Amino acid sequence: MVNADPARTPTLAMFANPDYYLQTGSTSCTASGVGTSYKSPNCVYQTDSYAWDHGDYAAEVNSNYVGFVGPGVKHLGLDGPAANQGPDSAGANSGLTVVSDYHLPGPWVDETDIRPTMMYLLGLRDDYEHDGRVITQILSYPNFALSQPGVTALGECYKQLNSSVGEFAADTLQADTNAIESNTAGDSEYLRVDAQLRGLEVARDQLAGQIKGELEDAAFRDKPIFGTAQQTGACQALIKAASALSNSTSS
Amino acid sequence: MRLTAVAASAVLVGGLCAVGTVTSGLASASPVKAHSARGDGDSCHLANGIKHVVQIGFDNVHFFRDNPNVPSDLELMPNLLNFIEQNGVMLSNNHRLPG
Repeated sequence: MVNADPARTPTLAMFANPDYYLQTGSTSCTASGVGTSYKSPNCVYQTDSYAWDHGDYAAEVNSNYVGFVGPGVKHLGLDGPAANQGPDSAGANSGLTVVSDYHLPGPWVDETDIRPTMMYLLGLRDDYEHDGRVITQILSYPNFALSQPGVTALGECYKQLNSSVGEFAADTLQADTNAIESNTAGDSEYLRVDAQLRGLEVARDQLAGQIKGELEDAAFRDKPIFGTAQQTGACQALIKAASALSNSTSS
Repeated sequence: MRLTAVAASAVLVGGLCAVGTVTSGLASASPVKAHSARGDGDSCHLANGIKHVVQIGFDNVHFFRDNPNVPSDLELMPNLLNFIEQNGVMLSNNHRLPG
């Protein structure tokens, strides 16, 4: 949602419960009560004519799969949770859980990782820097730079720092949500959390941008990464800081 | 030699299945220009002896079971699932943007 054009950055992004559907309504709707039609004066309505089960920031919806077969790809079979072990929306709150709470087995992968991995396997490179990383865990023949100790661990931490549904994202989203819902004199709680979020954002952008460039250079230029342990430590510290901020707010 | 990638999106929109075949000398996996890592300019030589790329994208075709007692969409495609798992890797800890 944030790209090179700041005019396109939303002021407020809303994520509803998994079985909720958000749409533009009347600005004068009634906050209390539940209506039966989108034409009702209530801000929230229920209907039995339509079921939405694919929203939003929820583990079931945010979990997916990708398969690779071909030269240069390890024969690993299923590397991740089995079909009957994935997040689902059964039970209370319609699956209102986040991916990072599950600690699923297998390499954490985002869809942004597919393109660079394909390009690496093909021996091609793009003329731009990928947001994702080459999935080193599946490579039969990683190059010198990618096969160095600590590189995969750095990539794994980068995922949790930069993935939109990783640990850092989930914790900062929770902290921000709690801050918006807080009701303190002078909005002091909101302002406190917002200031810390801004600090985390700046630190995250700096470190994630650095790691991203290094992983790209390692994959496509075979350039070794120095200080992987230190950078992984810094990455983990940022994730812990986000978790601490989330825990300091009350939901 | 062939490289195959299968990915899916859980977005609830109309069905979409795209299959692309790229042969040596025509390697452009997207409108963005791709360069050979070996610096060969426009004469493209794919690594690992690869000659063809098949990329299949599924929309709203699930690997995970929606109901624990009912096989998932991919489990109902055993030929495809077995092909991937026996010849490469199926990564099910994959994630997408909230939508």
